[in-house]
Amino acid sequence: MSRTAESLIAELDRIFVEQFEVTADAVVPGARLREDLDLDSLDAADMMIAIEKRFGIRLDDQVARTFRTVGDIHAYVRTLVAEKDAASTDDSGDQPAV
Amino acid sequence: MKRAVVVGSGMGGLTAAILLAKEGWSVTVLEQHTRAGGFLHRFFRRGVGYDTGFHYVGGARPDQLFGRAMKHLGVYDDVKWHPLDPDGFDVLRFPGFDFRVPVGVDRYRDRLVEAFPEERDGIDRYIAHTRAAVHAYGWFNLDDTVPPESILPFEQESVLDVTRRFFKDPRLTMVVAGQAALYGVPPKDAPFGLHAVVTDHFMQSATSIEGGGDRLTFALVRRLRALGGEVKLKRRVVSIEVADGQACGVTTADGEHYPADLVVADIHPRASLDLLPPGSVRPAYAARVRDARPGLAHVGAYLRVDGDLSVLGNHNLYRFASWDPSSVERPATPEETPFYFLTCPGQRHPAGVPGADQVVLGLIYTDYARFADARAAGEGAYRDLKQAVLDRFLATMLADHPGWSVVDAEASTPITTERFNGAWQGAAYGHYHSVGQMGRYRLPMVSKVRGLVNVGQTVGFPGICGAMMSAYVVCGELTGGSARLMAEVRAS
Repeated sequence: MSRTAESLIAELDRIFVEQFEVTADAVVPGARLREDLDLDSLDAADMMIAIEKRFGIRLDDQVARTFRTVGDIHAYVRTLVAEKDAASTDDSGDQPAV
Repeated sequence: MKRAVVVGSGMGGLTAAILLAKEGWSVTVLEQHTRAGGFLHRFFRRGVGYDTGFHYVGGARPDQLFGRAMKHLGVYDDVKWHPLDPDGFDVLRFPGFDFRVPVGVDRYRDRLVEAFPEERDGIDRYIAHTRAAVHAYGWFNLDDTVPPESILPFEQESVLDVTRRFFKDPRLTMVVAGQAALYGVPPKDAPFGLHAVVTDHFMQSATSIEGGGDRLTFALVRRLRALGGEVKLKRRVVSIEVADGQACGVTTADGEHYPADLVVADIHPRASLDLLPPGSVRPAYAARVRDARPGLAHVGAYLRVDGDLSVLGNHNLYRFASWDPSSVERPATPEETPFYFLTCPGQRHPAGVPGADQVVLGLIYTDYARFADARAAGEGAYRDLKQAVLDRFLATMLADHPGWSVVDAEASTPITTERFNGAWQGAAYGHYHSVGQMGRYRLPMVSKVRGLVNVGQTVGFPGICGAMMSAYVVCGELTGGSARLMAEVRAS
């Protein structure tokens, strides 16, 4: 069974809080990564790796470079995880998605 | 005057120190060991010197990258460079088959075609792919017009991915990929870009240093002193101080404090992390550094050998027990020596000291955990394992060279390397420079702590040139951009 959109977003937001020391109430879809959350290009590399590791997906570098807000990351990761879930359902319907 | 403290006196640290001193910084290098140089250092027995890490370097002619950089640093004329045999500076020995690696990519291509004539097309495509990869590295070509991200595709494919794509004969794959032993990453994991750059670099020219790697260290230290910098030995740094997110100095085990505007850490980023106050970096970065896999560990064999050593002549020997690509990484144990490297500096240049012409240096890859476990079990267990691994290697070597006899044999283990070089898990090349840890997954040179940068093999490429280049890259960033520094090196 694939995870719900809400639980996926909660997991993503937990990465911001636990691994990047952002306060929980600052992690809203409209928050700008650089200006509001003080995440720079060094953090961006760490963020990409943390997300890939957590969800077992691979982010495209070109797309990742266009991220400006928390919402951008939510949307892209949801798409990738959905694709991954669909592929895994096709392969073996009874396997857990992630 | 701005002050920089460099932690560690390896090739990366000394290069950074000179580059900063040239820019007018006041520079102090702190080295924990009794000798400077990191893996460039030699140790001595009865007056005979043994190199611990340096064997040869690529591109050291005065018109090539390493040579130009040595001129730019101001040490080129202080060192006696010795070219290895251009017709075969490395001999790759497989069961029943020798391949001699020559200087010159065209000559290399012709030699591959001569040995594997039916693979001509694949060989030509491989060489073209290699050239494309080499051109993607801006600093390597001193070309500031190449965008940094152009290397990414070449670091996402492994050497084995590429060789299997172009070659049908698995022996040809191994002849080409076996050179991965040179930088300590097995072909299944080594990024193709790394392989292309390192092998191309040596095919430009392969050079050793008369008297050993520490002659280069001494030249670098003299140059640094002439520029007003200093190197202090037996100074183990125990903390890096940070105020308001800015590194502001270091403290040594004997309680001395060195204030600094910039701290250059020529140590593994994991070691830097341990020196920082808790909370200096984000948990994501700390986790990444702590999870990073270290490179292969090795046993160094420091031998004096009686017999005809001219077979080692003016080249290095890479000896593979089988055609299996895994022989590069399968650890040497008391039961087998899947791979060994041999070199005999005294056959290349005047030895100077009686007995030095008999020195043979051997290197075999091994398993850190096995030595660490033996160490934990007690001094006896550790000594027995060390002796058993050395004995198996010597028996293998003597079976290959029946006319030789070993006069003296001493070995270093991953534990030795860890102690003298501070190398995490005794990894001679620092990081495991694999597809999964290079390219976009590379550990950064600059850190979240302002005024703290990392140099050395782990954040660069393996080897003396990789360590040196890391310092150029980071000093380029610190002193107004890479373009100017590249232009200076180009003009040197």
